[in-house]
Amino acid sequence: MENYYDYLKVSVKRKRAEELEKMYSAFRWEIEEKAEHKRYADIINYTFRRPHNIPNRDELQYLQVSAEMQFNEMDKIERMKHARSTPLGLTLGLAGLGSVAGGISALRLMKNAFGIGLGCLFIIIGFVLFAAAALSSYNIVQRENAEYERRYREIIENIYAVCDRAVGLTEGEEWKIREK
Amino acid sequence: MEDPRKIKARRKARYGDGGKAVKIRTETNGLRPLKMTVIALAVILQVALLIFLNVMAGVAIQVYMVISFTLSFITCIYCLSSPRNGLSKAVWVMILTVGYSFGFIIYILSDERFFFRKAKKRYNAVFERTARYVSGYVAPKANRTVAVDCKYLYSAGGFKAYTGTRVKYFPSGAQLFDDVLERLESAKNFVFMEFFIISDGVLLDRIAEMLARKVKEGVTVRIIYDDMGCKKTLSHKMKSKLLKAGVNLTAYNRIVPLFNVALNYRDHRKIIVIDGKTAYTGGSNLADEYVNEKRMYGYWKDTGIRLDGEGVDGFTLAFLRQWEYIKGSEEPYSQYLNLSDRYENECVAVPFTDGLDYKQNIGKSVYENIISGAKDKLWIMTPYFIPDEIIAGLLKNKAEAGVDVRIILPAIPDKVYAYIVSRNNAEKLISSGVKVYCMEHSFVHSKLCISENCAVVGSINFDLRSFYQQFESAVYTNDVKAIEEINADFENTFGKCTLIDEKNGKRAKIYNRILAGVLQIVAPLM
Repeated sequence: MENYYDYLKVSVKRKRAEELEKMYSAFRWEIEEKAEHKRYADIINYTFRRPHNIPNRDELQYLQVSAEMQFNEMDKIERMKHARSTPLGLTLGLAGLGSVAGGISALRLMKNAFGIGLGCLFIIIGFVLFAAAALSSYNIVQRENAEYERRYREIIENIYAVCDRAVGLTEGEEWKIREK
Repeated sequence: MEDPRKIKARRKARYGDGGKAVKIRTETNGLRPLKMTVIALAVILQVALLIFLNVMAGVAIQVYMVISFTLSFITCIYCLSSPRNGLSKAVWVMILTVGYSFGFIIYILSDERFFFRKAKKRYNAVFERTARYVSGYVAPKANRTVAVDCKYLYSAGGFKAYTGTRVKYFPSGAQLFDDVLERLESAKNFVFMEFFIISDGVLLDRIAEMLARKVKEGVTVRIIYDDMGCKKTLSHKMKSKLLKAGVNLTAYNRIVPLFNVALNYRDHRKIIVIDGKTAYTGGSNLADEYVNEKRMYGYWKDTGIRLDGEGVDGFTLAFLRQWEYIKGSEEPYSQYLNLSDRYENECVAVPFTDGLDYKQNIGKSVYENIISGAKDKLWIMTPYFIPDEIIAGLLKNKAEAGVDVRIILPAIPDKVYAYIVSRNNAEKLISSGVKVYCMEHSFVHSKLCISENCAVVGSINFDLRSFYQQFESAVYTNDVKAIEEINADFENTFGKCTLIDEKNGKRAKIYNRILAGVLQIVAPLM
């Protein structure tokens, strides 16, 4: 059967473009066109092509889907990187702010000893909450960064493993289309 | 001109001393009281009518409730005596008793004995007219199990067990359609295609271009597509293009709301016949996702089978009968049959179809026979696992008897509700020893069933829609090479699967399990 090209169109964020190109090259996709998205400056549109009669095409397709899913996972884990530290920090920070504001209001409105005492107490609590927000967020961010690094390395290794298998399936040159 | 003093005097006599104001008189001779009387009578009449209707409506509703209850009761008895499967009967009886005011209407609209009767008569007429093309039964030279299956297929639907037929298995839709395109190059007389879904895209463009070229060379091309399956996928532009190119295109069971209520019966077949010498069937429709040109649900796993030789006549006959049913025109079939070569192959290939044109549920019965006949292994690949109690019971018994029963389902579903029910049904069998696998990153669309004796490859899902409501096609074979290839495909696929054991099955989220329980109620109707 006559060989011809299959085409694949992909859009990717600029920061992931290099990783994407390496990944698809393992599946023998060549870049036919690469252009910036007309509206979004951080998105690049690719058109890849590959000879239709490539050996082990079904297996390559399956591996490619596995690699693409892992690739998409990278963005997902990045979005979820600070999923715990951010809301915790914000909650404690806003609580602290509220407490300080309450304390200042108490000092201004209640001119007696009780008011002054209450106001000072709230202000102290507010600063304690600020400190707690800062400390806990810092600890959790450290752990989240470590977790993210670990997951990212795992995903990259999985993608490399899949790409290595893909390269092994397409050794030789006879399936390539000779341009006239 | 009249004297102004006389005008003034007349005005004063008429209107009094406030003569400067002009009064317009409209009432004369006591009409006002008459008008008031008419209005009062109209109001009284309306109130009386409302009271009357209210009383009558109350009586009417009571009368309707009694009548509808009686009709629902009669419909329950009718349903229980019908040849439906037990699960379906249970669900319908529940609907008829709980919703007795409208349940019988829904049942009547859905029962093919009411609204498909005319269609069945037409099918019977076609079958009677074309019965002469079905030759007599010849027992194949095969083991007892295969011989029994072949006898059943002949008795149930007149499907002949062909030898002298080459069988080739394709482990993917892409390989199937590459072969189809290559074979179409050498088509000389006719090409018949029947698909549930034909979708605009890269694959259809290639096939359409090839078919247009073949029509110019004088090849007759006929395509049947299911109107509901292609509603959103096959554009008017492509239909016009094919028609202009000379392709004979026709829809099965057109969707015409209000005028056609038998909309639930769909043509799920996938058949290609080329020159009466080569035929294909399997799970793949004519759309990009089936060949992984388009990504919809991860990797799309599909399968197909090719017949060369005498066995092709089975699918040619099935296509021509469906064509005659749709078009209503008769033609001699002999010009399309007995055209193939005979190959050296003692193995059996039985191309068969299923649908409401047959009295029995052939696809379901074939699966039941294969399951019953399995002694060593029984491997199944299906996108949906919604069997009736008979098949579920048979699988349980076989697994408990030590047969290696394995089911491969997709990990990525296309229909979430069907997937939840399928997983739930499959996981219930794990405790009996059935191994349930999910193919990672994939949607499994293959419809495969293999035992140590034989295999079935086709369009028949392991669900109630395929068993009872759809037109299907498949090949039953004991061809040694094909079975080896199918085995190898299964082994390769197991390597890509996760085994669902009781632990990770039970870890399914609580709301999924609750939803599965609720959906099981309507599963027989899915």
